[in-house]
Amino acid sequence: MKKIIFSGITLITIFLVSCSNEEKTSENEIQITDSLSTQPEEEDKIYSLPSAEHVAVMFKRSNLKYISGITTKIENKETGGELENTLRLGIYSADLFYNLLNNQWAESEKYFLVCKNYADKIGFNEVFTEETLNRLKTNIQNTDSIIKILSTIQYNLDNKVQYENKNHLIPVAFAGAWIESMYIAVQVSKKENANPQVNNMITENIAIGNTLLKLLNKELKTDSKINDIIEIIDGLMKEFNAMQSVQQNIENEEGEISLTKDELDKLFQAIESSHQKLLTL
Amino acid sequence: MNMKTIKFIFYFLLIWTLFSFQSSNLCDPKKLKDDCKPYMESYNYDLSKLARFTYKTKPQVKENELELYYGEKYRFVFNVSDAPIPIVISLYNKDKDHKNRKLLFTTKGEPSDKKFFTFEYTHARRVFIDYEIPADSSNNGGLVQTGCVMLVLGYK
Repeated sequence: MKKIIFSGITLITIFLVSCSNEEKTSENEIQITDSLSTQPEEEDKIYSLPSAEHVAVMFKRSNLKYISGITTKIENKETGGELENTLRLGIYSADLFYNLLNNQWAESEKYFLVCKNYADKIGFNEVFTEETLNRLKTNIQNTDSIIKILSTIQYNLDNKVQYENKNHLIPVAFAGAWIESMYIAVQVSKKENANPQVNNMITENIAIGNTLLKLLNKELKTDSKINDIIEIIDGLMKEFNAMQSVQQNIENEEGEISLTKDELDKLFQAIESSHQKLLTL
Repeated sequence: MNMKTIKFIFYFLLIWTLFSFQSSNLCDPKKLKDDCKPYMESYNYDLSKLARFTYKTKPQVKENELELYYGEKYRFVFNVSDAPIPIVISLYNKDKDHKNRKLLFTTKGEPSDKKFFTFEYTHARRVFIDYEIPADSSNNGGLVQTGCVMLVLGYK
């Protein structure tokens, strides 16, 4: 009998030790303490999009110039719930990345704080920290270091989303950041009188919208309000997919899609219109 | 306390402990991602995707469609530590409905105890990652086995 009692005590001890074993986190990582809210779901078909930070980096590499005042005006909206605040976080994060990658500290700080505001509203308090803000400030003149810090922000954001099983927020935040990044590029391209590299990058990015739509449609069952975003993206993609140059390239996975001037103008208008609609949500 | 009660408490604690270990340690996204970090080297973190699965009596395939930028240098890091029965990971240029798709990378033939796989690729706008999950032919007393695979993607 003593053996059984001893084994029981040992099992309890092992269990308690395993429970109290806190995760070690490095200096730049958030510590996740919340519990899982829902049971994670198994998926047969998975869709993966680039990160918002990578979209911004790609535009920067296409020699997208910095023009002051073209980003979305800062507003701390109090309306809406988790979905609207996630969308706003996406939009403003693209503005933050554009300013950071162009070494604009004063603007970056403002957009960082607005991102923090919306991240806090959806419960992601640990993502935009004062420590990260200070690191960005110290490294503002070094683009490679800025990209590394942005990668860490994205990593922490993904940790939080995955741990809390809030995967439906990923395409929503991406939709905001993606449209905002393309809107900025359109404004720069128009003012620069057509930069071919920037125009190619806009075309390259717009094609991602087809996968974004699949992902948003998949998440529709989680939150019916996603439908408003789907309608906006769907309208934009219908315009793009119907273009003759796109139709001719549909089977050519490796070739670049080269739009005519008329097609580009139509695409620019469609992006601006989608951007405007997204801001009203 | 009689012997019967003690035995009951003992078995209750045993089952409780085993379940507690299983639920707290299997498929923790943060741990799986953190363990991929050494394999990322100088690549910047782009995204991560956790694919969860339940082993069934028949083999199954789960597909991950991934958007890429053409010409960008990517590193794919796969962590299969929490796949109790080894799975096969294969990358293709087209989805599983295309007959003439091109195989870009596979873990087929790799040692079954290998837990991390890396692959670098540049020239694609889209890749399709197939996770081939074998059938569970073991007899676990009716217990269903679950598992997962973590993908971390880096870019330069």
